[in-house]
Amino acid sequence: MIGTTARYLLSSAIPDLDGVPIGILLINVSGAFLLGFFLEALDRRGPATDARRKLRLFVGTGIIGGYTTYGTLVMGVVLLLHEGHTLTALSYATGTVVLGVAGALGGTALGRLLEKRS
Amino acid sequence: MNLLGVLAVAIAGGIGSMLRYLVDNSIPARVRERFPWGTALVNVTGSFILGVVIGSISETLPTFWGDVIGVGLLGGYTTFSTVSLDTVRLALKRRRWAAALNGIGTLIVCVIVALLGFAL
Repeated sequence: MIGTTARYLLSSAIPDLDGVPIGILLINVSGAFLLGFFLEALDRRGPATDARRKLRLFVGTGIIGGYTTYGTLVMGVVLLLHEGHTLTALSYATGTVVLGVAGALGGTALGRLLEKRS
Repeated sequence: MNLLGVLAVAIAGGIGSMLRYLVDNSIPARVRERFPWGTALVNVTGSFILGVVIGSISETLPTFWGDVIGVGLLGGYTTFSTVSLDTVRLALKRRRWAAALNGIGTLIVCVIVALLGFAL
């Protein structure tokens, strides 16, 4: 609920850029970063206790999982293809996936870095 | 967008996230440890249904219900962050083909099924 609400409000507030749903892109990439950071930090704090499992489920699966979306990303691509903007559709699709992986990797790296310092 | 609309989308998003958890967990843990088939199943089914909804129903559907079903239910059901992180974790384990299949394969299959749903 929290994640979906944040996505709804943010995506409504950020206008498309040349027909590209840039709001959904930013949401998905920031969510991938947050999930990488959160799960890495959580996993490195110790074994999977019951409390950690619940926190993982609530924040990771619930909030961040519900914040990001695959369906809307895919429909953005489908609508761009449908309108004949093939190159834009391919750029948006591959750009989101590449930036998502970079975001998740960056979040994971930051989660490790903070753990070493604490 | 009004308060009632935001609330309805939020509740639908919660239901979508719960459905995602249930569908993901319907795949045995032993299978999911090798490859995130559960998340893939969620995203492929969600993309197809969203394609059907936007392709054939959304024109006759009031914006309120379009947002509740499209943004809330199916938006919350499907997820991007888990796919990205699983791709990274597979790559870090040097399982390059599995990482590529998860990162690129999910995208290609989801776009194809969404196009099919959209064209129905």
